[in-house]
Amino acid sequence: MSNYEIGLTMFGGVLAMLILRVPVAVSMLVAGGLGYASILGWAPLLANLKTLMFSRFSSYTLSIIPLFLLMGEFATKSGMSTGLFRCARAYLGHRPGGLALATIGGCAAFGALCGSSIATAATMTHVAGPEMRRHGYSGALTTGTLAGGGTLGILIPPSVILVIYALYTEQSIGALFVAAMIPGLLAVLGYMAVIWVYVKISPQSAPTAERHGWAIRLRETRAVWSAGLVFFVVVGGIYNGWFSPTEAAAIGAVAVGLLGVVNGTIRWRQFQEAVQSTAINTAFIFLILLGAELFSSALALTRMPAELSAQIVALELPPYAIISIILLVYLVLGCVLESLAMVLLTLPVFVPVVLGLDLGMSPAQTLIWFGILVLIAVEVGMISPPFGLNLFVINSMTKDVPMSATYLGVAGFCIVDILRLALLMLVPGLTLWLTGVS
Amino acid sequence: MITRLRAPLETAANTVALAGGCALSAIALLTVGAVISEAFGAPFLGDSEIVELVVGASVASFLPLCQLAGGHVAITLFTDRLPRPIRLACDVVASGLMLVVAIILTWRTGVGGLDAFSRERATMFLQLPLWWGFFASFLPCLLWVLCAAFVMVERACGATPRPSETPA
Repeated sequence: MSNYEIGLTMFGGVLAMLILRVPVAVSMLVAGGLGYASILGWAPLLANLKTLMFSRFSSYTLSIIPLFLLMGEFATKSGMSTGLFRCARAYLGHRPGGLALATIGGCAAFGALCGSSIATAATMTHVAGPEMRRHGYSGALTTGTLAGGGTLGILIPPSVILVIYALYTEQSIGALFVAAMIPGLLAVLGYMAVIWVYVKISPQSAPTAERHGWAIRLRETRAVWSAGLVFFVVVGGIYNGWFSPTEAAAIGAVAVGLLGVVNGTIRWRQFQEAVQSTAINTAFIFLILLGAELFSSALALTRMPAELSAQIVALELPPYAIISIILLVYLVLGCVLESLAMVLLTLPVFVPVVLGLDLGMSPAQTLIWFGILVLIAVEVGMISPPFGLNLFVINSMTKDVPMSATYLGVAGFCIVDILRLALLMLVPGLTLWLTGVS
Repeated sequence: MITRLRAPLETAANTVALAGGCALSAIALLTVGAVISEAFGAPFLGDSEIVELVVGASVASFLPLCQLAGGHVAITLFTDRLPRPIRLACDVVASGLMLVVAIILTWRTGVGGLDAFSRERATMFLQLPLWWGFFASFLPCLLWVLCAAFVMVERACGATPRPSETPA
């Protein structure tokens, strides 16, 4: 078997194992290990494995991931999500579709503390779902809004996927976080527009809620200003180089944790629960990273990614056609695959392809821009009917809304997502402007 | 019968994970301390080396809990409509592969630790012996192997995997 064929077989093997219910990380470890051994032999594989786990787990840069996860869990357990939603509701609640608008606002604010889309969707479903239903909002609008809003969790920094993308492509985490700001803002505006149109078409799906006076607005704002401060210290600090991303994540986790302890919402039991969820998610992510490391080093040995990408570049298709095809692949894969694994499996092939295209940007600019596009494509996959993972999470928590209503409700959000993806692809300046990367 | 083992294993896995979580929180506090001390002109060199060793061990300490809680997500979409015996067979094979992976990684990490010990490998600034880190990762991995073996037997006895939450 030629090395190129070994590379293809590894991909085939991973897909076959994934389909047959083998956990993502295990599929990558098994396929990567067998590929590695079939090229270099068993002794080098066993020698590699001696330090693989220790060196992957004991990485200063990767320690940002458990720290950000811990920060998100503290934010969840300390009830910050409730405060952020109530604050957004005080300003927006009385408008047409106001509670849905407030949900988007709350999700965006919570996404600034939490790096995971599912966690954001689940938390906000818990907080805002019952409120919307109680005010007579239709099931489709309720679950659709929560699904759309949940994706702001990974889009608005901090974002676990962006951290891993940054490490993989050797780009600055700070630059990628800042690059996600305008796309994140566009997402918020796009989702609010969807709600506005939705309520215009079907006013009965969102009865008007009460208006709040300025006294209440100020009180609710005072209750959450600390969350805003944490966000600006963490993201601003990374961007301005005040501290490293790991230091920023540590500061964020300590700050949110202390806020919870001070206002009495985090006690020993909540701390234990936060640690448990952090533990499960961290172990899950790190085992996938381990699998991806072994898989991609074996894949690099086959030289298959280099040859394949050279072939794709040699097709001489228009650069934007190739980018569109790649994003389409992500959208389709995103409907069925776990997002992190999907990104890690495909980057070894797609990154050289993208770098080989003549897009009129520097390599750093190209990678940052492409990273944001990938992030959005992945995020759309998580809410696309019929298989989007977020839809199932939200639906299982909102039992009185049938799945078909959720599909209907989320359709508009998917459409603006794809429009936004096209816009950001055609106008790279929107992503790159704030980063100042040249 | 075998399922009665779940409770003690869960207690052990939870305790180990909690210890890892406390270590992680301590590391976060240490890092904040280092940032503050640097801001006041007293830089604390080598804090990143402590962070690396401790975070490595704490990630390893999360593995047993993740295993028992069914945190290693698999894609069930394509097989959900197949007859139950086939799904069960897939799950037994999958958890068997997981067990093999756990055994090999634990074994190799142990050997790597012995290497680091005999070659007296240490971190650059603080000269912390690397085998500490290997050893602290190796111990929870032993529990991980036990948990993986238990989960495989549980599947073979026909227990359905627990639904679990997934991170993005």
